[in-house]
This record gives sequence, structure tokens and C-alpha cells, in this order.
Amino acid sequence: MSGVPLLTLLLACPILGLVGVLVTPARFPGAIKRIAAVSGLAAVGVVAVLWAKFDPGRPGYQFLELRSWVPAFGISWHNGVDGLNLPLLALTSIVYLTGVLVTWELRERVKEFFAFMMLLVVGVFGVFMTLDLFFFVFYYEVAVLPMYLLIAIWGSTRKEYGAMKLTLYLLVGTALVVPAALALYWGAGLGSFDLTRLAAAHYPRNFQLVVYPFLFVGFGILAGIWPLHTWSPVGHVAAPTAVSMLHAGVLMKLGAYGILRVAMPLLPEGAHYWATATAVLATVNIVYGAFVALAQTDLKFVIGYSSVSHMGIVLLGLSTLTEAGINGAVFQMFSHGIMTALFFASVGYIYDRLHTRDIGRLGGLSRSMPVASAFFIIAALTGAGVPGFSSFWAELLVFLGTLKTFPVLAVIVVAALTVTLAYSIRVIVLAFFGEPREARPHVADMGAFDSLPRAILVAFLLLFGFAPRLILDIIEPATRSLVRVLS
Amino acid sequence: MTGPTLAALLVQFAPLAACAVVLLGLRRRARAAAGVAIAGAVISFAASVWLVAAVAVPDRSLLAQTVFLPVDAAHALAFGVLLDPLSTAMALVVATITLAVMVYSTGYMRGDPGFARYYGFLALFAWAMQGLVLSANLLQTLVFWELVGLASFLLIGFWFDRPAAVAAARKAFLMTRVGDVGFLLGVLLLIRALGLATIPDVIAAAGAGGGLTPRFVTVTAALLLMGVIGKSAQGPLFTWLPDAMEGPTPVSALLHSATMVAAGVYLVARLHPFFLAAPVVMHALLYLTLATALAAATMAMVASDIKRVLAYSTISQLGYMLMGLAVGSTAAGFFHLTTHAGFKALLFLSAGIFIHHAHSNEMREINARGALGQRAGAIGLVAGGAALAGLIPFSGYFSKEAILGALGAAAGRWVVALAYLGAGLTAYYSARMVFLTLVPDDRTAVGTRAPAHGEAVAKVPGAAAGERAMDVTVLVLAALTLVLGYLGPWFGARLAPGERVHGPFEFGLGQLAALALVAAGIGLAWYEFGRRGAARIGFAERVPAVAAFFRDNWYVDRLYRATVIRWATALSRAAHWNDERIVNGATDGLANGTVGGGRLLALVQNGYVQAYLAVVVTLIAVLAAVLSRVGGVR
Repeated sequence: MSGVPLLTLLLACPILGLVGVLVTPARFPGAIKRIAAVSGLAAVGVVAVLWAKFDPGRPGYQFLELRSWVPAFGISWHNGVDGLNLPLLALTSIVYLTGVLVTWELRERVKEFFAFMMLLVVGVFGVFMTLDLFFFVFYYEVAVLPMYLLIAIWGSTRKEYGAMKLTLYLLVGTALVVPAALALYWGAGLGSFDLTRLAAAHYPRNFQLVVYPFLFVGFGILAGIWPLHTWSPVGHVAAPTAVSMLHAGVLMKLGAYGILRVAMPLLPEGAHYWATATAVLATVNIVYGAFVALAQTDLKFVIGYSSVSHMGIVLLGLSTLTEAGINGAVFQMFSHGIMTALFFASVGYIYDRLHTRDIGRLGGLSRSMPVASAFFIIAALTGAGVPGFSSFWAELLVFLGTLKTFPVLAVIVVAALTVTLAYSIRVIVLAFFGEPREARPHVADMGAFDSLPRAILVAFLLLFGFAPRLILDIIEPATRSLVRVLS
Repeated sequence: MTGPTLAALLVQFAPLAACAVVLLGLRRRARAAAGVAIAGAVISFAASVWLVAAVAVPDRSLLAQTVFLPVDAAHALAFGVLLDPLSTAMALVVATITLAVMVYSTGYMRGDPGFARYYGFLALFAWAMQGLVLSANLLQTLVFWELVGLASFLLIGFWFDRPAAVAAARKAFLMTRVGDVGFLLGVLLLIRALGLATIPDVIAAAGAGGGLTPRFVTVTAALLLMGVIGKSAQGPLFTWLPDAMEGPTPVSALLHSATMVAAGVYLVARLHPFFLAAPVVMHALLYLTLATALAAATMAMVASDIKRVLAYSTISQLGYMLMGLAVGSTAAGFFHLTTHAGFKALLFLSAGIFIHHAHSNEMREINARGALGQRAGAIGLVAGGAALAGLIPFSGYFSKEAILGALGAAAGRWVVALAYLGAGLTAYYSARMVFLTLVPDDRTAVGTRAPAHGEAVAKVPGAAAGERAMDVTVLVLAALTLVLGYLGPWFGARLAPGERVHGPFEFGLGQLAALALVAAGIGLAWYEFGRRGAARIGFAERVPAVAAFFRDNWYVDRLYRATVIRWATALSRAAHWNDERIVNGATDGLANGTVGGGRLLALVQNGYVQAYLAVVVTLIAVLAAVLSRVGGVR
């Protein structure tokens, strides 16, 4: 491998962007936006290099960076990439870049907005690349805290309430994760936070059974696990567009990734013991989320609850402890991230112009803004599991894994696809088809610049929808070794 | 890559490429869009002709596939093309009808604001259907199956600002998805059991010593059939199809003949040996489709909208195809699929000419506006109607004979009798449609104009070329009804080598009985509708309760509205309420309780020395009182 520490370089993209934004005076919002875009573009570029250089055939982590940081506590600067986090790094960089582009029209406190957004991205990149439990928890907090400000300042609909609810829930999650992380540290007795070394330590069975639920629920809150999910739709609705994209697209994946990276490999017996319980919870997520989405009247709430439902598919895939299921879960994390970013990017455009998201007041949008509507409809069809878009394969793999381990749940979840289609079609039909339900000013359809970020997202949905191997070939070897640990 | 494989890819991807070009680049350029889409269809058609010549005529079978979806370490699913007489013949049928519909639509859809989008969606439809037909893997079939559903949704709801069209599109998508749940589960079960879903391997596994238990095959076959029932509008899931005519009429022609509804029948034919390994399921299918065929025929007898008559006739004829397959005759079922594709497309396109002219779907209205003036339409309607009725020598006669023959050889006496009765009813409603539409009625005046379903809005000057395209298409398809009927022995030799197939003009007892019933049906229709001074009211329409029952889809939709839809809505409302009040309410309550508790405690810390002093004095006094009462202080 060449001497360039690519992962640190990737982390440097938002950090340098953040510094750049901070030193630029607030009276140059255009420059600040350009810095953010360059930083996003650089991140995408670095990830592209990582993706190209990544060798799926090689076991273990690649692009390893290991420097001792606080030897006394066994904390080290340890980053690495395998098939589980490479797709998520790619997802983050794509959502980051497109998020910056859809926020181009922002006028209010531009400097602060982009500064917080970049801080958030630093945290997310950090979580996805670090192999050190201390840094994992640290970055986790870095990612969560700017969220409060981003929603409370730039948000809409009940923004203080949404921001506070989100923060409190996520802190409850932290309150469960931190003691569990410390228990892992002390329990191993290695004096090290290094995840690769902790993974080699064998924790006693009783220890695993007790600690696993702490991690699963603690991380699970961030992934929107039922019944601790209500922060998520409320937060989505309150957040500004780019933040919704990052929030639903990337942040919720942190939780699932925590389960995948920390809880499952370190505590395999715990994972086995609790698998049925977590699978049932995930099924509740899927079915319940779909039914609640069917009754919503706000476009963003529909998406929020669809996220609850779709993240249930991720959690279900993880709970199967099978290769097919985990492959599907990782694929679904990526795919759902892109899809939901597209959802919020489209709704953001509509809301900015019509100042309403109430399905009962919309209608006929496909006539007045065909391009903007097409993007939303594509996202809705992806969510409904229409093949040709990447989610279809991800969900299919999860169903396959579920059928192996929990046949009854598989039948329930597959049957729930009708409800998923029902709420997706309901929104399309009520908001985009038919006649406008009330008079509204003429608004311009999406132009080329606004279409660009959305088109990028659609392109990824189609790319992996037509060629799922492009991503599964990367995920699969890593899943295989994880499953070997689990059994 | 061999020649046939390449041709098969061309058959599928020419329409996809056209779709991409049209939707991405030519949305504002109607003529160019139609040109590109038709070019794609022509390429697809040519390639499928070549495929038939290279694969079906010499009776070969090819399988080419490549790894598409890794599942886990041990398994990966391979996608590809499966070429044999069945798939290539079907590909040709699809390509022919698609091309016909596209050419016809240049006239029918002229001037529509969504003209380019329309052609983009048609090309998408063509790609999805060809992908389904040629697929080598059941999962691949499922993928295209869903895409066919998507394309139908987009095309039925093409006029997305008409509420009825949108409702129909939604209904079609959702109702077929209900069946698809079963299809998906069936495919997943097969993948779990076999680690693959390649069609020849699945068929082999169901055979003797193939590794699958009979019980597993029965369960899987039943699940797969759920998808077929939804897609081919059978049994309880038929009601989406009559509504689907809200789409543009050429779309109905496509949807009702070679694509969408044909997909279900094709799947059964494709996996026929697998399904035959589950005799219980095939028995159930026979009874279900027989009931559907008869029920739909009764609905067609009373409908007054020409497209509705045709829609019910499609359901009924699909029932016949599936009956043929259920008793084990691949050749008969597929033969009827082919002839039906030809004459049903013809009927819809002829109806389209009338609708285009009269701006109404009502048969009496069309008649009043001079239907006979539309010569091509009249020829098409008569030829198509004769084929549908099963009149010799039109194509429908031969294929229906093949099915009735297969039923006579394998099914019980009552089934055969009812199937013959259905043939008579078919002749009756077909003739009723022709008479009502074409025979001038001098007793009635021109009625009020009813809104037409699936009628293009705009009338543009210079439409003559477009109308010529429509006429030519109809005449070509009308000529085909006289040709397709002779394909029976050819199908028989390739699809069912062991089966005894009747020559086209052999007349046994069965044929004569069927012809007699057809004559009776037509005669009755003539008496009621065709003769001079006829009352123009059918026997079923004379009893209002019966007519209402038949017209209203046997009240099946009402049943759904009263049960499933109501329950699902209630459940979603309950879930919503629970989420807002109980789940979220609990945490809000906890938060408010915490804040409230803090406020209460804050009262104590109010900073007034007097208050603190008062509390201290009061507490001491209370303490003293209590202690003196219990006797602690003496």
C-alpha cells in the first residue's frame, strides 16, 4: 500500500473544510458554500480511490493506520476498512456532497450551518473508519451533538421540541453504550480499546448475555428501534433538508453499524442468545412503521416512518446472523441511506416553494413540477421495493436470511410488503397525481443545478439496482468472516 | 456469446435503451420520442423473428447465464436467458403486439401533452415483458414481473390528473402485489431449498428423484400460483382488470393481450412440469379458473361500456388458458394465449378507433354516432369478435377447441360441460357487443354524451396520417386472426411432443357441440340485439337485481371495501394513535414529569429567608407535637 494515509485524508476533508469555513468571514456566504462543496467533492474523491484500491479478496482490514495515542489507557489512532464500512464511508461522502448542493440556497447563518454540518460529518466518518472503541464512542458523540443545533436553529415544524427529543433519546443511547463499552474494556483485561484485540478476547457467556442488550438497545435507539423510535420521525420533520438527509441517510446507520462492528463480533454468544428477541423487535419495526406511515398526513412524517420500517429490515438482517441476512443488512444501510436522502432532497424542494407538506393540501404536483415529482416518485418506488433500484436486492437478501432462521417472521415481513407499497402509492397518488386541491402560486420546476444532486442519488440507486454485484462482492467477504466469528 | 444469446439481449435491451433515451432526452420532442421508441420496437421485433427462426423452428433449447447476485459463500444466483420454442415464440408475440400498439398510438395519442412520456413508458413495458419472457431464473422472472407491474401502474395512470385513472392504477398495483407476496415467498423457499432458482433446475428438482418432497412442491406451487392469480386477474383478485381500462386504449390493448395478464399464464406454461408435480394445486386451479371464466362471462353479458366487455372477456379467456394448463396441456394453453393476444389486441384497437371518433366508450353511444363509418374499425371488430366467439375459421375457434379437447380428455364431466357453456356465453356476449356497436338502431335518438374512459383529449389538425396508422394496424391484426389459428399443430409438436393434437379441421362430437353452442349464442344475441326491431335488452339485463350483481363485479369490490380495506385503514389509524399517544406520549409524559418535578422542587429553593425560617419553625413544631404524642419527650 502506498504511504498516503487515505483514511486520515478522508477525515481531513471535512476537518479542513470546517477550518476553511471558520476562517472565512460570514459576509462571504458564497465562498463558504464553495468550500463546503469542495470538501464534499474531495471526500467523494478519496472514497472513490479507496473503493478502487480496495481488494475484496484480502481478508481483514485494509488501509490500516495504527499509531499509539494514549498508551496508558490503550487508546490508539487505529483506522481500517473492510467490506462492512467501505459502503458506509461511500454513503456518507455521497450524502455529504449532495447535502451541500441541495443547501445552496440557504441564506440564514450560512457559516454556522456549514460548520456544524461538517462537524457532524467528521463524527460520522470517524465512527465508520475507527477501529478503536474509545474513538468510536468519541466520534459517536461528535456526530450526535451538532444535530441539536442544526435542527433547533435551522429547522421547521416544532423544531425545539424535535431537537430536544432527538438529543435526549440519543443521550439515553449513549448512557447505555458507554458503560457497556467500559465493561468491554475492563472485562477483556487487555488494557486496550483496540477493537481488533477486543474481538480476539473471549468474554464469559454470562458477561455477554448481560452486556449485549445494553449495546443493542443503546445503538438500536439511533437505528430507530421500536418502541424507542419516536425521536426519529419527529426529528426528521423538524430538521432542515440537508440535515434530514444526513440524519436519516447516515446517522441512523451509525446505530446499526455499532451493533455490527462492536456488539456482534465482540459478543457473539450474546448475539445468539438475544437473536430471536431482536428479530421480533425488528419485525415490529417493519410492520408497525409501515402501518403508521399509512396514516400520516405530512410528507416528511411518511418518510420518517418509512425509515423506521426500513431500518427494521436492517436490524432484522443483522438478527438473522446469517451471511445472506447480514449482506442484505449492510446493502440496505447503503441503499436506504441514498434513497432516504433522495426523499428528503425532493421534499425539501417542494416545501421550500409551496411552504406546505400536508398531503391533503397538495395534489397534482406531477403536472406543475414534473422533474421534482419524478425524483420523489423514484424514491417512493425504491422504498416500495420495486426492482431496478438497489433496495430490492438488499431486502431480498434479508428475507432470504430471515427465511433460514425465522421462517414465521419472514412470512410476516414479506406480507407487510403490501402495506409498504400501499403507503408509497398513497403518497404518490394523493400528493403528485390528481388535481391540485387548493389554489397555489405557480412555481418553477427543478432546474439543472437543483436536479444534479438528486440525479446523482438516483444514479446510485439504479447502478446498484442493475448491478448489485458491484457492492455485494465487497460486502460479502467481510460478512463471511463475521459469520465465522458468530458461529 | 452465441448468436441467439446476442439476439435475446437485443430483444430486451433495445426497448430499454429507447426508454432511457426518450425519458432522459426527448421529453419535449414528441416525434423524435415516438421514432426512437418505434425503432427500439422494430429492432426487438426483428431480433425475435430471428430467434424464432434460429431456436423455435429447429426446436432447440439454450441456456446462457452469468452470476448476478452473490447470496452467501456457497451460493450465488445466476441470471441469463433461457431460449426454447416457448420463450422465443412468446417473445415474438410480445414484440409484435408492442410494435402494433406503438404504431397505432402515433395516431391515437397524437397531440397528448405527455406523448413522449407515453412512448417512454411503453418501451419500459416492452423491456420488462421481454425480460420476463426470456429469463432463465425464477428470481429474474420475479424482477421483471414486478417491473411489468410498475409499467402497468405508470401506463394505467398515464393521465394522472384523472381521478378514475389514478385509482385504477393504484388498485392494479396493490392488488397484484397481494399475489406477488406469494410469488416472492415461493421463490425464496426454492432458493432456500435448492440454493438456486434456475428454471430448468427447479423443474428437474420437482421431478422424480429430484430432491424436493411432494409436500414442498405443493406448497411452493400454491405460493407461486398466488402471483399468477393476481397478475392474470383470476379468482378473488380479478377486479383490478376491468378498472384498468381507464388507461389509454392502446395500453389496454397491450395490457390485455401479450403483456401483464399474459405474464401469469406464461409463468405457468414456463414452469409447467413443476406445477404438474403438484396435482392438488392444479386441480384447485382448474376449478378456480373455471369459476372465474364463467363469472367474468356473466359480467361481460351486461356491461354497456365496450372496453369493459373486452376486459371481462379477457378475464374469462385467461381462465380458459389456465384451465388448459391445469389439465396438463402446455400446447393448448399457450396456443390460446397466442391467438388471444392477436384478437384481443385487435378488438381493443378497433374499439379505440370508435372511441377516438365517438368520444365515448358506451356501445350504444358509439353506434348512435355512426360506427359503421369507421370501416377499419368495423372490420376489426367483426373479425376480432368472431375470433373471440370461436367462429370457424377465425383463430379463436382453433385454440378454444384445443383447450376444450384437452379438458374433455382429462377433466370431469361437469367441468367439461361448464366449459362448453362458457364457450356459448362467450359467443353470446361477443355477438352482443358487435350488434350493439355496429347494427344501427333506428328507434333511439342520440343520447347524452357520457365521458369516455381512456380517450385522448386533444384533436389536432393533420391527424389523417395518424388515423391511417391506426387503420393499417387494425387491418393487419384482423388478417392475423385468419392465420394464427393454423399454428396449433406447430405448437403441439414443440411444446407437447407426446400429446395428441387435433388437426385444424377435424370435426368430432366435441367440435360440433362447441360450434352448435356458438351458433346458439350468436343466434340469441341476434334475436335480442341484431334483428330488426329487436328490444336491445339482454335476458340477463331484464332482471335488475341480477344485472346489478353482474355489473358490480359480483359485489367483490364492495366486499373488499367493507372488509380488508376497512380493517387495514383502521389498523393504520390505531397504530398512528398508539404511536402518538402511547409510545411518544409515554416519553413526553416522562419528560414533562421530570420538568414538572423539577419545578415543584424549585419552589422549595425560592431564596426567601422568611420562607425557609417558616418551614424550619413549622417542621420543628410538627416534630415536637408528634414526639410529645408518642411520648418521646417527657
